[in-house]
Amino acid sequence: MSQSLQAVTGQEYKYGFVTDIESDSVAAGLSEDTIRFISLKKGEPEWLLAWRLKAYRHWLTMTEPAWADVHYERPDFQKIVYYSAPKPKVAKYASMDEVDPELKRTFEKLGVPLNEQAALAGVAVDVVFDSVSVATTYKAKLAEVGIIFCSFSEAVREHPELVKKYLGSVVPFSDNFYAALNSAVFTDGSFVFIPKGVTCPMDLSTYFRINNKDSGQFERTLIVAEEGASVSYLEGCTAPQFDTNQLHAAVVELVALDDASIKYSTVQNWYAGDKNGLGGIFNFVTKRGLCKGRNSKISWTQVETGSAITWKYPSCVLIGDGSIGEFYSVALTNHKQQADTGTKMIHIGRNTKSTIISKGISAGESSNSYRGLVKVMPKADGARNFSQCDSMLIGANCSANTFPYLEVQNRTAKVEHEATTSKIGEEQLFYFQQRGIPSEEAISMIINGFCKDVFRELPMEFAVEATKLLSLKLEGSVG
Amino acid sequence: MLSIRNLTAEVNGKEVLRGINLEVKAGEVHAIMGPNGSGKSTLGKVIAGHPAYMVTGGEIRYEGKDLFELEADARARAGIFLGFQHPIEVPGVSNAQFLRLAYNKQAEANGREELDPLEFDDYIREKIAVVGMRPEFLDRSLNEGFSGGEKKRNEILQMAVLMPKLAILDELDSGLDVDALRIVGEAVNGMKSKDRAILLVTHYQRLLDHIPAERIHVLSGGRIVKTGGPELALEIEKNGYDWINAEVGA
Amino acid sequence: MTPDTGTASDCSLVPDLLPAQAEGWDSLRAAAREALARQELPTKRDEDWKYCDLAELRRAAFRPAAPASVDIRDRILPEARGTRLVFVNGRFDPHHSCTSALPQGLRLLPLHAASEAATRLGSLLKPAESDFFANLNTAAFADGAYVFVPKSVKAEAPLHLLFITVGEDGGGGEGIPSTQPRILVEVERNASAELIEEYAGSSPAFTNVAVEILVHEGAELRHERIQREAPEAIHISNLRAEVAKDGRYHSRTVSFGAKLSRQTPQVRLTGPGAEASLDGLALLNGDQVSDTHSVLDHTQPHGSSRQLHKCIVDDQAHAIFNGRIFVRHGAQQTDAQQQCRTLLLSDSARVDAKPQLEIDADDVKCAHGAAVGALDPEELFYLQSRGLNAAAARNLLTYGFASDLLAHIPVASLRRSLRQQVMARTNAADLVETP
Repeated sequence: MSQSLQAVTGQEYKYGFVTDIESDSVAAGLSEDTIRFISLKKGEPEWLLAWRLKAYRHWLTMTEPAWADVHYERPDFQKIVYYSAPKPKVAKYASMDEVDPELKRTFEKLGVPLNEQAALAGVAVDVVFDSVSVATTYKAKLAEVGIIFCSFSEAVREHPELVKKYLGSVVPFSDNFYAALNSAVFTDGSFVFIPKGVTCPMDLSTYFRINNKDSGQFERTLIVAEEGASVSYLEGCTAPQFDTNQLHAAVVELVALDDASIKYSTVQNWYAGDKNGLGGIFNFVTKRGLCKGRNSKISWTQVETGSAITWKYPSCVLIGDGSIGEFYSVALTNHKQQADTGTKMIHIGRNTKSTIISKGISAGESSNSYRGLVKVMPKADGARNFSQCDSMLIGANCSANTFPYLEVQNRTAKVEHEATTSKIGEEQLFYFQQRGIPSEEAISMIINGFCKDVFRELPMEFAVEATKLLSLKLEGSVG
Repeated sequence: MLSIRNLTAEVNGKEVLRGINLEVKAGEVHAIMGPNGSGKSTLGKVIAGHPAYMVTGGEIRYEGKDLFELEADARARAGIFLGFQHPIEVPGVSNAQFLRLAYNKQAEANGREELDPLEFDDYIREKIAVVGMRPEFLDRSLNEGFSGGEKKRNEILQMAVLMPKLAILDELDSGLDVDALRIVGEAVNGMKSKDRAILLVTHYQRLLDHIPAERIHVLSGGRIVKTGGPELALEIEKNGYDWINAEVGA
Repeated sequence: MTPDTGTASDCSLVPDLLPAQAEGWDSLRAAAREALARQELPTKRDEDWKYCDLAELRRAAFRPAAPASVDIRDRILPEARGTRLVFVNGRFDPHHSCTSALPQGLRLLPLHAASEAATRLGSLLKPAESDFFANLNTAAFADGAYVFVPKSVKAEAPLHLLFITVGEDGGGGEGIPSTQPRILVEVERNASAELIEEYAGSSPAFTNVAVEILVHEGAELRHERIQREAPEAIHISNLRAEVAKDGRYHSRTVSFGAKLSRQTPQVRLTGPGAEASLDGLALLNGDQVSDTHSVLDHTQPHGSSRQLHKCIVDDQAHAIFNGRIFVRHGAQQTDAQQQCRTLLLSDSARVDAKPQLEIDADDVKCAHGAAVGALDPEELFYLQSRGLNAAAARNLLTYGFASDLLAHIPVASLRRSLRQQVMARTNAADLVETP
């Protein structure tokens, strides 16, 4: 690899600062007592504690999955801090002015538009810091049209009937090892409810950050769009730089009723570890959407650039006739990162459609796998799927894998998968340079071209951010 | 315009140029000919600054300046254009995007006004007519899925857009049928001017039927072994390269 | 088929089929026995057998097939009249075999007579690295074929290996008659040959094949593999091939028969510039299950591979395709293309396809695709607009889908017979001329 290639991938992690805030934590370790403590701390009703304990007991019977193409040291679940809240100086924030200034500075460093700029940008933000939601903006404005956008804890307090109805209805606690763990110990997250016929007037957004060295982040997000409702939701993730691994095991559940649509976009930039693979986040996440109603639509868009290990398959269960599932993904890995990501599209209803566009970029000594399932059940007449999974390789020491699973049990279904590979190397860059275009711009142009089918699904400001992030992440790798 | 003295270069530790001397003045058309493996494509890449080729000795002066002080992209912006024998395919990046970026980079470097997409669209439409391309080409990914002939036309389109001072065209005729060669030849001839020099790199004389060159240089074993007028190319066409090697004792 | 709920140890394959003392190849067989002692019949919990139900093998009792007499007239390929080995119920049949037309130095003989094969046999299907079925074959095979094409020899006539399983003389006994054919092929430097490996049967049987192929530098082997076992048969086949520098290995597997068939071809390109293709066609109806688990392994630069796998699935049949392509670190300039296409013809037909690319080199050209669907309505309409009724249009398109893959079979008589079989299966016999 020549020098300019090297120069592009060696970028330092920009968000690797620790915020100095007193935090209110439970001792490390997991037991029924930990769970009771979390539940008590959050003032939860009896039924939720019971649900958590059921999940915990089930988790105890499960074994940690061993994934074929992912290699890492198993987390020690007794060393994780399961509850770490920034200790508020005021018990509850009445407005943004009361938020700890140090915390606000953190968000400014993160580029979170919490202040007046947020108003101009028209983004309502919920911020989850370590495990606890600290502020939700625009709540009142959204409430006028009947939209509920709040922290998960608040939803448990204010709207228990909704939480009880939908919690675990898409991802049951028994779903997998990390979903069970999350169900037992989740501390906060976001809750969105869009009532019948309402189109959410602005993009909703949550920023997640892990700040405590030993804490895990186990947030839980639940979004329900009733008949004819629609919403676009964005999440961003960062974490400071530590040389130990931290666990992030989130669960996201989406429910779309008749004619509803949910668009869920993620820019994930958790700390990836250093160039030798020391430290970084283990990002083991379960995300699933239920297209329950007729003609409902769930669309996942993700830009995955961070984490030492990413293991996530945002999925769509297409139950309603005519429902649509989409998955647009860019996953970039560098140095020793490992990403195993993709989707599951389960076609159950008639005339259901799914589209999968996955772009994997591997550099350094990283490994980047697409793993996706398209399953057409016997009753899913007229089901359609199209998948395009492309890999781009930068340097001779990385890997790119494509593992599509096509399971079709209906003859009227049409399922198509295509995958290709391309590269950025010396010859590609020289061609650009020979036309007067410097390497950095050439890389950015090639990457953008490669990812454009995904980027155009992102809200505008996210797309700009994603482009910058990818170029930053690759700085030093191409040449 | 271009002055090369005692140029030696190697790639992967293998010496490929062994003392090249060449003078090209503005307004001239030269042709570098030679058998396969003679180093003629290498010469173009070294002038353009390909990073895989290491210059081990000698000098190249371009408009009086030391070319080795410039990176490949800076050389391009200074007006050196290399038409590739095998143009690179870049999925996802449209031809139009690429051309506009290249144009604006050059404009920026030379103090000319950059063009926005609409202005550029007007500009490019004139140019594509010259090389006989359809406008749809602009929206396709750069060289992706292009036939050999389409790729070569696209190289000439880029040349027409960038209007270089020194154009080095490597095996322009390969992959072109007779009609395409005629169109491309006319396009190149149309770009000739007293301020512009063209260096054709070719194995066969047939390209010179379409783009006449006043000086012919025969490259063999990394050296220019013979230089002459247009008649030299015709002689090569008739008798091949062996007689020259025999003559110079190579 | 009933779900596979039994445990692996219910299986009686090993005790039923492993002879107390197998003949020859002692140390190799000992190693296979040792490996087998630690292995069990795979279950659906094994990722590689996830979609393939071996319950039939678990419940049944087996025994080596007894001798039988056959008439092979219909199966003779005129092109291979003097280059043919025939095995009946697992035994070499000298009466029907004929090797009168072999080129100088080319060896085509039953394995029991090929002592020179000793150093090569088991070199690709090493017991320590092989699966249950391959090891069962190594430990228990009775006979098989040895093919050796010496340096620079170009074998013009195709070499035909015909394995037939038929009702036994005297009616046999309890348990499923079983055969375990073993094949070793070596094509030396710059040699070339065309090999036809055919399984035919008319009675229920369990066939467990193991094939090893060495293609040396600059050599070429074209390999047609035909499986037309009886509808009640179970056919398992393991194949390993290694292709050296600039060598070429081109294979095509056509499966018609057996209620359960499993093909595990694994081809490794061990030298630069090697080339391989691995095509497959499976025509399935009734309760048939056909499972192909292939590997194309690029370990050196400048290699190329092509794979086209097609399945036509009718009734309650089930097709499985799992095709892995590896491009190892350093295998630059590899060009690997893989396609899997499946046509589902009935409401209960099913396919599970998993094409996989695993790439550890950056300067490569790799693509794969998989498509599952019904016949194209546009194409159907086109044919109907030319006067064909709906059924005829469907049958013709189905025939075309399959026949396409047979077009390049160089042995005319074989191509014709396969096309006829495809026509019969797709009810297209009265629609197209006999090719």
